[in-house]
Amino acid sequence: MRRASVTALMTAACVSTNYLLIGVVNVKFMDLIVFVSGIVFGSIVGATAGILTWLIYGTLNPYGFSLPILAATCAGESLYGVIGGLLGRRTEKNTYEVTGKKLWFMNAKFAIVGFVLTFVYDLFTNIVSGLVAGIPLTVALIGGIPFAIAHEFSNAVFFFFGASPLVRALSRLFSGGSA
Amino acid sequence: MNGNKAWMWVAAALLCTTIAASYAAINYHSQVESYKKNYEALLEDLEGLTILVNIKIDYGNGTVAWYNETRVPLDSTLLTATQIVASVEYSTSEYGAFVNKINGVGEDPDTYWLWSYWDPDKRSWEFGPVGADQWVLHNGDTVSWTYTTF
Repeated sequence: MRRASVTALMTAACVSTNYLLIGVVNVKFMDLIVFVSGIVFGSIVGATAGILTWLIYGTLNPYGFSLPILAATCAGESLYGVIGGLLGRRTEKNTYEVTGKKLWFMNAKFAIVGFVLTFVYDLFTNIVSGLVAGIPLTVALIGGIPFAIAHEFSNAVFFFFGASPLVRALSRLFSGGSA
Repeated sequence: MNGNKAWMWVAAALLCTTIAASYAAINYHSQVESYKKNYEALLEDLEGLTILVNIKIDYGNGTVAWYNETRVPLDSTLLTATQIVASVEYSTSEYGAFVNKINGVGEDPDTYWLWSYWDPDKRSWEFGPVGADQWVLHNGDTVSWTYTTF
């Protein structure tokens, strides 16, 4: 029950911020929220929040609807939750309570993880988009670069500044326990 | 172990910068290619609407300026073509335009701007038979302005 409500809460946060930033292509808080959900509440909650978010946002989207692309974005988004969950399981709870230099290092690690995950996500979704649109893969990948750059850099920044405070805040709010 | 972990993160950070740099390089390359293609297409369109001419301006004091392969609109006259490469002051009469000054040079006593064209058959300069505003240029034409005393 608790897991379901937390998933719904995280999904709501993702969906609302996605619509809030709908005019800014490929710059979203969703990836960060899904990733942090994975760290705090586990891979299942993280991945489910990611999939549910895309089921809503990908269906009711002014840029259009495509089932194969929706499936790809769902799968890609769940990766943030799964990796977040694996990272959360491997990390001691008090790791996120650091300050000073250690905090900067931790934030830098989050930025790196965010960047790499987004790179994988963009690569995967661009390949699927290219296949769906019937355009050569190289064209799809090169054409997607400006969007990928915006996505990856913005995520690196969001993960750097947002991941550790969000993990700490959610851990405290939900007593630090796994859902 | 900790040292290994640190190197792993450094490697991951380098991987990120490599990805970013590669992305930027590919993106810039594709942009350059796209601009090049657009430029060539534009040039092709332009070639149908313009001609290339060579214009010589001899200021009579030893200074000679050549404006080779100047792109001018189709049906340009010598006057309009000259106005593209230089500042021209002229007056009009029933005989056509009479150039008084080119780039501020002119209107000295008994000294005038005369124009001539290069005749490729005769391989010589021929004096212009009409006013500069009535001489329509063609692709590859070579024309000359000379500031000379009578």
